[in-house]
Amino acid sequence: MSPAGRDGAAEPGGDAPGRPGGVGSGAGGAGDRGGAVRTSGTGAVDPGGASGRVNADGARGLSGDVAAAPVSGDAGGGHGAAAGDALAGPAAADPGGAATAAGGGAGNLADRFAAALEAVGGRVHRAADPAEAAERVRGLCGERPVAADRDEVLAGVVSGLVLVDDPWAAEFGLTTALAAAADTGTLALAYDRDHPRGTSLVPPVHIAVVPADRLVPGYADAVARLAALRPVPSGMQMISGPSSSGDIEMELVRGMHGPLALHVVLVGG
Amino acid sequence: MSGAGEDAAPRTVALFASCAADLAAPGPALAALRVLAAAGLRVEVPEAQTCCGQVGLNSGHREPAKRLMRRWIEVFEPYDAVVGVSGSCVATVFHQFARVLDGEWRGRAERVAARTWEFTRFVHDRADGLDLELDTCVTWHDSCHMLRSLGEKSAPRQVLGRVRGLTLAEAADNEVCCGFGGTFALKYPELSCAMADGKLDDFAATRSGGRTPEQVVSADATCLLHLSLRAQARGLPLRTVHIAELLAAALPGGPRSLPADARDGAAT
Amino acid sequence: MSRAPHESAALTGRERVPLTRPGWAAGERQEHRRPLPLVAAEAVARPEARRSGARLADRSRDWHRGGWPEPMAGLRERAAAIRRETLADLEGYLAALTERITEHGGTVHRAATAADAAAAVRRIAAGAGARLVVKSKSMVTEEIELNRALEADGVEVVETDLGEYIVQLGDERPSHIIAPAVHLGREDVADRFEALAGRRLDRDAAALASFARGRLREDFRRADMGVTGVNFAVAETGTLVTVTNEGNARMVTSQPRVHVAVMTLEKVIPRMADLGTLIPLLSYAGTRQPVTVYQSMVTGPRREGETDGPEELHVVILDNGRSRIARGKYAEVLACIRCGACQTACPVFRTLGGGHAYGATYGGPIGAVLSPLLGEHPADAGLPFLSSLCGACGDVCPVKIPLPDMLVDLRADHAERAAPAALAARAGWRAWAAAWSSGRGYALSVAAARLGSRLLPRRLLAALPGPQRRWARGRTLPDLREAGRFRRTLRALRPRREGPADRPEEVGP
Ligand code: SF4
Repeated sequence: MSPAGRDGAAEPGGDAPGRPGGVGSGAGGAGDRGGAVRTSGTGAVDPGGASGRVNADGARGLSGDVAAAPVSGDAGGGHGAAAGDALAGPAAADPGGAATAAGGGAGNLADRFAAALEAVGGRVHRAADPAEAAERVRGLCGERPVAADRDEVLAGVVSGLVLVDDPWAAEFGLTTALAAAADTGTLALAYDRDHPRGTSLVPPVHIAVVPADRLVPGYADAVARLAALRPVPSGMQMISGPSSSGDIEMELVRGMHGPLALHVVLVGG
Repeated sequence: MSGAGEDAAPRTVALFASCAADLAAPGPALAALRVLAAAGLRVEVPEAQTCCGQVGLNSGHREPAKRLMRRWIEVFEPYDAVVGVSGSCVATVFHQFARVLDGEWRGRAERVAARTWEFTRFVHDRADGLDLELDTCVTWHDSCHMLRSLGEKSAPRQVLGRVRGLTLAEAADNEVCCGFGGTFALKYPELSCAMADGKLDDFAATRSGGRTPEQVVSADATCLLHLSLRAQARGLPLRTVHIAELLAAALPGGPRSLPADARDGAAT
Repeated sequence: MSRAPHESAALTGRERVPLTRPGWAAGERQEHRRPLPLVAAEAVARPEARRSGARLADRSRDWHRGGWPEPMAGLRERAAAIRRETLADLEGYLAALTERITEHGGTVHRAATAADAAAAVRRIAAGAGARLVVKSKSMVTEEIELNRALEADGVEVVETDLGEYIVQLGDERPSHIIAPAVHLGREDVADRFEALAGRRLDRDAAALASFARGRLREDFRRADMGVTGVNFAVAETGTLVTVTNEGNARMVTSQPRVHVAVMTLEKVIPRMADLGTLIPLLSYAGTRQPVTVYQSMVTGPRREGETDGPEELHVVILDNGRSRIARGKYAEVLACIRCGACQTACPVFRTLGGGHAYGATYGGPIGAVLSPLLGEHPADAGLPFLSSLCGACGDVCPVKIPLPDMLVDLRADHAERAAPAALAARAGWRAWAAAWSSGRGYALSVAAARLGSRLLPRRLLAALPGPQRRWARGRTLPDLREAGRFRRTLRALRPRREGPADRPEEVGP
């Protein structure tokens, strides 16, 4: 290494195109600047903390073809038969797999999920079982109109709600999610005839009832869940919090075109 | 660093003064001579040196710049170590030479660049026995190419930290460009001045433990010149000093305080 | 200007919004442009520029000091590699993408030029009988000036991204890739919304955003066609990904009957799994979010039995010089993921109060590199000089595009292609190199500088034509009486005798 560039600068003519590897980029933390005061990033959640491996806990509860054959089981812990197989391929090939987040059981993941989602303005509720989840949802919606997806997970939840078909007429949209990323508080949804696009989008409040065993560690794991779906759904959606905008003086405003509020009821775990 | 191990510590170094030393700012190069001599080194100043070609390259005139780069290599490649007092010029040698030159010159550029040091880093690594004392409060401007091409952030802080009595007050925008940018300052004078004004405001707001910095220190004479000449035109009091001049003033036998005009701090 | 009766609820009353912007910020890019230095001087002098520059500087100070922390640094390396992997086989990935999109029932339109792309969207709109189009934020539709093209056919176009809506009301272009209204303060926004509403409004950001939400909501339902850009297009599955916080892209891709996605060809990426790297990185680089609120993934139009989503999906893939760029030495610029970080980090961009003064579709460092390569307008060739080469852009770029080196190289390309007027400058620089390649020539020029400074007082010098007069605009001239003092002092210090001409000066310990 050249004395002139001791602080993490690479040799001139290094093999990286253009500016040699570390020059000025503080790349890899090898540079001086990487070791210097880091004012930014200390508070950042690790979005890259996704494991390349499929977390064993997370792998359960997802069918290889969720869209066509919704998750079975009524205890919030439905186990899709083909889960592991369907995911192993793409997840293993995930180039985002280098940084592994601290592994942990579902409980740990639930805490991380709650912290991450609440940090971006969502609300997380815990329910021991579907009955308690139903109670929670009823508590939120009361007698007001709800648009709900048709899904096994919601079967026990929708009874007693005032259901409407048109999401534009609803005050609440009720869905589940195929996966939920603990580190970023992200929900992963796929659309089909039973899961229209409007439910989680149009009503001012979105409520998602998610079995805790669908938690995965990182964002990349949630992407891997969606990537494994065959046939590829016509629409898939990642959601991390209520809608927001920073377009006026770069000041964060919560509640823009999408829902103004997002509630997630984690069931079991 | 693999260029020279501890055993092979250079005893003789060539000083790369930069054309700025010949045209407008001789102080830093002269001060560097004193500091390096005080560290027990034999310093040679190759008389044939002129300019690294940076200003031509950055103005879009690559071929004329390459001519000066090749000359620079010829002048400095006989030396085991080259120490430059302009962070920006050293960055040009380090980063641009091998990128821009072709054929055998690329390899020669890489080899000599591997032996070329920015002054502050050299003092940090090779001249740690200096007895330095200066009762002052200063702020450091991270000049762009030193910070980003050389990746240098820690050496100046550590070297300033060795000066007894010196307080470093960090400015919030110490990493922001001063607006000089070579011919940019001529092409876009209003923009360039507005950028300098941002820095002047930032310096004015800088404090450390209730102390206000007396001087702005950096390792690039041209950035400092730009800032001080802008301040002068606006009638603002701003004093600037190159780190070599500051260290020379802090040596035993030096004034051990910064003169109002640090220009002659080294010429004794 | 008289307008067709409004289909759009959101734009009703638009005529009442006063235009406050300078000509160079106008929604339509100017054909006749004043020289960049004049526009830059004007931009810098605006108090608005000072305010928005300060806001951007606050962000940059919080975000960019200290470089890339782990694990983002690792993500950055992977993203840089993914983007270069894509560029190495652009046509291969595009072929796969096209095949997948078609398989899923979408229609792909390749457009060689901006005009072709605009024409393609016009045809689609005409075919669908579209009267009202809702758009989510997209830079490529700025590049092809789509709104003008559709409006010429009597189609009303509504920008639904809050920032884009604000600039549309003021007939401006977006001033930042991801923060289109960053050049405006909340007072400016409030003025526009109040003119629109014809009544007083609460002036805090939340109330203003809520006003816009209410206005735009109706249009999402009424529009017959939705137009989006594309952040990433996945070759493996034919999936189009849009990244937003507001949720407008979700509306635009789900409510209208027709969805047109416009993308430039380098938006393609190999695999779905790559999103696990690229989206967190884009979010971090652009806004320091772990991930943005929404990523919408569209694979074909709605399927049988589905109750919402577009019946038709059209994907317009624009080249506009990019396959040429991909074959040349600036190919890496196509790795860009349009995060806007280089703009936020650029002190020149900030001091100009945003990207309008650049005159091109893309401002800031990415614009100064990309615009001359696209060749949108001859004046764009000068953009690489609108930079102090501080290098901040290269540091913050999440895909490691060597923007500072590209700026230097584009300057050289420009000088090589120079018009006859610049030949004198070239000769001057050659003479400079010749003089400074010899000890005598160098010594002579140093002596001349000193002599000049002695004969002409600085005050007089500042008035004479030449580069020093430009320096003197705002700065005292340097004291060139210092010229030559360095070597004179060395000679005085030298222990004994005159050495041979090129003998090094020595100073003992
Ligand atoms: S060039 Fe880099 S920093 Fe600038 S917008 Fe593109 S990806 Fe972001």
